[in-house]
Amino acid sequence: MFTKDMKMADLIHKNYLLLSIISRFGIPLGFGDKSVEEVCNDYKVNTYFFLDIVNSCSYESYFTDVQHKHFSIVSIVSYLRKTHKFYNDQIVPEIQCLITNLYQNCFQQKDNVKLLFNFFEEYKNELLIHIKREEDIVYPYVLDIEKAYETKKISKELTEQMKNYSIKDYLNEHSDIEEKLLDLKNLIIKYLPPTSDFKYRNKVLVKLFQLEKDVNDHSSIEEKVMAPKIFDMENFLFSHFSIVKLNIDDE
Amino acid sequence: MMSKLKFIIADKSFLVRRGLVCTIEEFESFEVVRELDNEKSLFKAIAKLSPDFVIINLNFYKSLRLKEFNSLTKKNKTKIIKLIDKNKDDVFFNETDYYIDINDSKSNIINQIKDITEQFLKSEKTSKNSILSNREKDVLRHIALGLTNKEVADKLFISIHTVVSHRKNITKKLDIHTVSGLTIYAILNKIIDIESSKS
Ligand SMILES: [Fe+2]
Ligand SMILES: [Fe+2]
Repeated sequence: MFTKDMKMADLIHKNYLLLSIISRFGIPLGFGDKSVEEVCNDYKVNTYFFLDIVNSCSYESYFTDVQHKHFSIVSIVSYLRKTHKFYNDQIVPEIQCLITNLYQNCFQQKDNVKLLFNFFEEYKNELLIHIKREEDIVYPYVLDIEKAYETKKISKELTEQMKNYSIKDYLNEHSDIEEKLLDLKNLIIKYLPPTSDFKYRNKVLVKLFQLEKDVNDHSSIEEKVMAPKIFDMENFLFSHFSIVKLNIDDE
Repeated sequence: MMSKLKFIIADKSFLVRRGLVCTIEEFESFEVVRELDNEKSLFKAIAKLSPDFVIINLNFYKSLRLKEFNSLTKKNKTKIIKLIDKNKDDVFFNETDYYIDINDSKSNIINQIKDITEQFLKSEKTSKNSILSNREKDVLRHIALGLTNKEVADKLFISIHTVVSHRKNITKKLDIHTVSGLTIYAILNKIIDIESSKS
């Protein structure tokens, strides 16, 4: 497991997939032999939050074993937003571009590669909708909850909102966005007949594996870090302000 | 060579039994090992022959000591197919029950038997084989064209339950989980063509 006294450079040597994650924190390369804590302080990043993220991306059982709580919803949401941005602006366009290259470079299977391109487009749209819902509704809500919890003041709007929507509903509706990715991988590995092009077919796959892992890690931060914190704060607010949740099932 | 699937048929009517024997023995891999015109000797026959299937008249079935019967069939891994008369028998079926309606057409009865035995064979050997059976290809074709489970069931004259279980097997064999993924698989394997997938 990674700790605050380790060298930042060693993290990347251990798990190079952390590269894109470290960039999301706004930390550039070139940190010499500085420790994790020193680098985090240099760039005003919460060390504990940083460690939770890099550990959870590197050790599967991390969230069930240990977890720090010394960081705010503000920092979580800001990281989650940066991750969304990484999907939208970087890795998704990269994959589209690679599939296009694959299309241009193969002589047979063109029609079939086109199908895969469209399939990925479908996935992209699903992902966009998922992200938009979180950025427009869920993240603003959790930020409001944290604010109300800290100031012990609650607005009328938020009271109303809490009656109808809580983080539990988010967990229930939080959809599985990895299924299509899994399918696409299998279609390329197992079912698309051999192509004359090896290079782009492999590159597409490597990127798909990366995206899949990142989406998985991202979802566990939403579900296992953000949601439980909000759940506790909500419970406090429900009792402190005597808010009663409307139960739609009772109608 | 695979050994044949063994059937016992229990019904009072000679004609019904003969009809069933003929239908079942049309399948090369099936064999009827005993015909019974009453339920009394059924326990003995199952214990002795340990058949894979017992096709039993619903009234016979109702008069059995069920607890004993169930433990015996469980021990021998025998599956029960109830023989019903939809015009007379007023019954509600569990989707998991196997049954044959004596009023059904020949092709329906054959399909029904095929489905039941296919499910049985699948549960028997946990096959690593990823090749789809013809029946599964039929189901896949319709799913890929966008039909719902109910519509597929109606088209193929099988129960929704059977469609669902085929779907599970298809997904497990292919490791493809979404409908659009299945559609592409179906096109790549020429189970459907691109044009029909658009409609
Ligand atoms: Fe998200
Ligand atoms: Fe999400």
